[in-house]
Amino acid sequence: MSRAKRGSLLASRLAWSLLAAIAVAVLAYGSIHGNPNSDKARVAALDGLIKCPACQDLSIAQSNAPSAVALRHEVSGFVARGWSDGRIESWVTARYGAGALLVPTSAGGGEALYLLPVALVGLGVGGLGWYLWRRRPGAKAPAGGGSAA
Amino acid sequence: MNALLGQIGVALGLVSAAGGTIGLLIGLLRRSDALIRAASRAIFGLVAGVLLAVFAMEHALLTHDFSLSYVANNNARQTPLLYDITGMWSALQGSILLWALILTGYLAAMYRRFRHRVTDRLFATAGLVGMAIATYFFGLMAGPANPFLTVAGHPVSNGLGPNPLLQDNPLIAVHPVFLYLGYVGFTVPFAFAIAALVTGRLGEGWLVETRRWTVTAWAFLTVGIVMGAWWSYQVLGWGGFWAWDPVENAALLPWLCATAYLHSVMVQERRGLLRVWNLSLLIATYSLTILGTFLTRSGVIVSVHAFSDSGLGPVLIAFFGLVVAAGVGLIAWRGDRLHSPGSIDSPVSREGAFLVNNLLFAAFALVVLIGTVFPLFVQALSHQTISVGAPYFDAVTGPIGFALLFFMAVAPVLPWRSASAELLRHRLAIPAWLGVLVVVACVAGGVRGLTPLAAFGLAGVAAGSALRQLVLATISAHRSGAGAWRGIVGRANGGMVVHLGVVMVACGLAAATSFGHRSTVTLRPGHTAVVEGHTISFLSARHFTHPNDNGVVAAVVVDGDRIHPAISNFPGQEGIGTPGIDSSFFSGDLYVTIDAAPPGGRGPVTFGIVAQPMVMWLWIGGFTIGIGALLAAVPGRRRRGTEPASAGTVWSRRSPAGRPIAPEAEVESAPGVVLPVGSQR
Repeated sequence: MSRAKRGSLLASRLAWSLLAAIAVAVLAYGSIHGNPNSDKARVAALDGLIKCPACQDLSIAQSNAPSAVALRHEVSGFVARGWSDGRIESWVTARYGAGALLVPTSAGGGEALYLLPVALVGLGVGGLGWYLWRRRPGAKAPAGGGSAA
Repeated sequence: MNALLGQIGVALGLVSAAGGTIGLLIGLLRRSDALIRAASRAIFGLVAGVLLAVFAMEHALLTHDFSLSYVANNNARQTPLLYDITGMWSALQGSILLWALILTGYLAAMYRRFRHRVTDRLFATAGLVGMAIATYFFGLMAGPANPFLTVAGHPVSNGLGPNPLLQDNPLIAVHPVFLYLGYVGFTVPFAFAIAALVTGRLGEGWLVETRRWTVTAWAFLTVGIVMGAWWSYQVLGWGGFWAWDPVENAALLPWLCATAYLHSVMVQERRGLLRVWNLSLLIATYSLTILGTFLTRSGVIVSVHAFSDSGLGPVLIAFFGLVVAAGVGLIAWRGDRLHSPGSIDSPVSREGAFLVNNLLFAAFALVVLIGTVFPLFVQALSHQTISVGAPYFDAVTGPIGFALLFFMAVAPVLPWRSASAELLRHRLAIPAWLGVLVVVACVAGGVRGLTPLAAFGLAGVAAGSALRQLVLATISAHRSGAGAWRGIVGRANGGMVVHLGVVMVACGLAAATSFGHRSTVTLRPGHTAVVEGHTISFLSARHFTHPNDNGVVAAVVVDGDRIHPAISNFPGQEGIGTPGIDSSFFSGDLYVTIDAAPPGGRGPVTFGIVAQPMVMWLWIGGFTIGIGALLAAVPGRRRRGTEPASAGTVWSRRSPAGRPIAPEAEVESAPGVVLPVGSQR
């Protein structure tokens, strides 16, 4: 490798290192100095999680039905009184049933809902890896393969 | 009279489609060109039948012919003209008629486009599939979804009118039509895929034939989905645009598969790889349009969108099963002829990136499908009613969306076959710096939070990659004398315009979901409040009465701009809000609804206030995607194929005079051979 090319390569690596350092530093600053998880954000998340009792498939955040508005006020009150998210969710399911949350609880197959796609995607990735490994350049042709040629 | 005309139209369409199907089948089995040619003329009967049926339905709606049950249930004398016309697709039976109209339009366009190849086995088989599908939909209208049934006894003096949500916004005139143009448009590539499997002509020819049909259908579906989001935003009164509602998901599923296909098909065209995958994606796309119709129209899933339920469920799910079984069975049957001749040389290559992109789209579709049908399975297995909503979908699709954005940033700079680290460093330098500059500017502007900053940064890199490609293509086109405009047309360049639209949508989504705020304020007329940093003055409110609704409309000034939120009462449905929206490209929208108003509009009014930053980027991004898809459908500059390609891509095949062989002038005898028309039968 010529000296000029080595110099160019070094400059390129330095520029990329600088870029990565700036990106990490700025992202870290923007994340660490962000707004803390305020009560307002918690209320918004809970409002999005709780189903409107009078609606078909809307959360209380998405509905202006009187029952949804009343429940929004209840949730705001609970958060102001220092209740945890888990306690508020338990209160909701105790009052309206397991279907009152827009994410199923364990009893409603909540774990399966998350594990099923993970398992299927894992199978897909495994299958892709196997395919790429079988089809890699230089891999032996499968038994009987290519005989027609 | 309207009922009779409509019944005649449906019967004519059904007989034509069934006759065409049987004639084409016998003609293909007997290898009779004359019979195939004769059976293909059934398309004229199909067109005449559907036009007659549509004319009868529209005439019935416009003249308020309440002797028709459909008109009595979905129209009223006070319904405004626009909603009289759109009443045809405001409920189940009429929307099947719209489906049949669009399907017939696509089939007619297909026969027109391939009119010189009617007896070609590939096209004749695709026509057979199209006719069979038309038979099914006309059969639905002749049987369980008949839009021309008459009421028993004397007709009512006035009808019920359309669903209030369907007579509150002019987007009803275009959103369902665009969605259906997308859904039904996939019939053409699906028919060709099945034809390729049946005839054994499994090379790349049929892909080239159907490329623009697929892009067109995808563009319609994309714009239709964005219009739906815009409509939700304007009408539903909560400041959101996507609720992961089952019906929204039903539109998203085929879109995801089709988007994956539009990427992976390039790998097959250029390298001859992923044949089984591409066929599977097309069959999945079409199957999911049918599954979506089943979810929307059968009543199995409750949804704010499910405007009709019916007994159509078993018929639709049976058709879905038939499509899936036929597709999978044919792929299994032709499995030995679908082996790719080459392999992916390196994961760090354009085809490697497309493969990962496809896996991500497939994973996205999978989690959406699982989340949508999960409540059905739990109810069937444990008789327990559960709900799966936005928190689940946001949690599982968010990381996939980030990964897709990353690959959208990197893939355009990757060459085919393999890429060196040096090449990547060189090509990604400007996009990467652009991404970092975006993050620095955001942080300097006060944006906080890892998720939105990472999204904006990746969007910056993706935009840089797309712009780099467009600039290079434009310079290259200009230097070659082809005209600089050639740098933005064609699949690759139009695709980059689409990417820019997706970047805008991604930024809009990240901002609206990370920084949206909701609050309420109660004001008396003449009073002012500051909410979320915006000055809101309530001027006045008045009661209004229209022929089909009544309610209260307020005059509100937000940061100097006057808006008019309203709340309406329709017969049978009260309290439908129409927000007033003060829009700004950078600072975002302030979305004001009337949450509670005194009777007559006198006294204090409670306003719902939703601050949505950058939400306008969603609509502009959607529009840009539509423009990009149009540009992608325009023929671009010919590219040299990447060797080795399995079937000699059309780009690498040259006639003896050195001119590229036009795609439509080719048929394939078998994988690996492309022959001119007429040389092989």
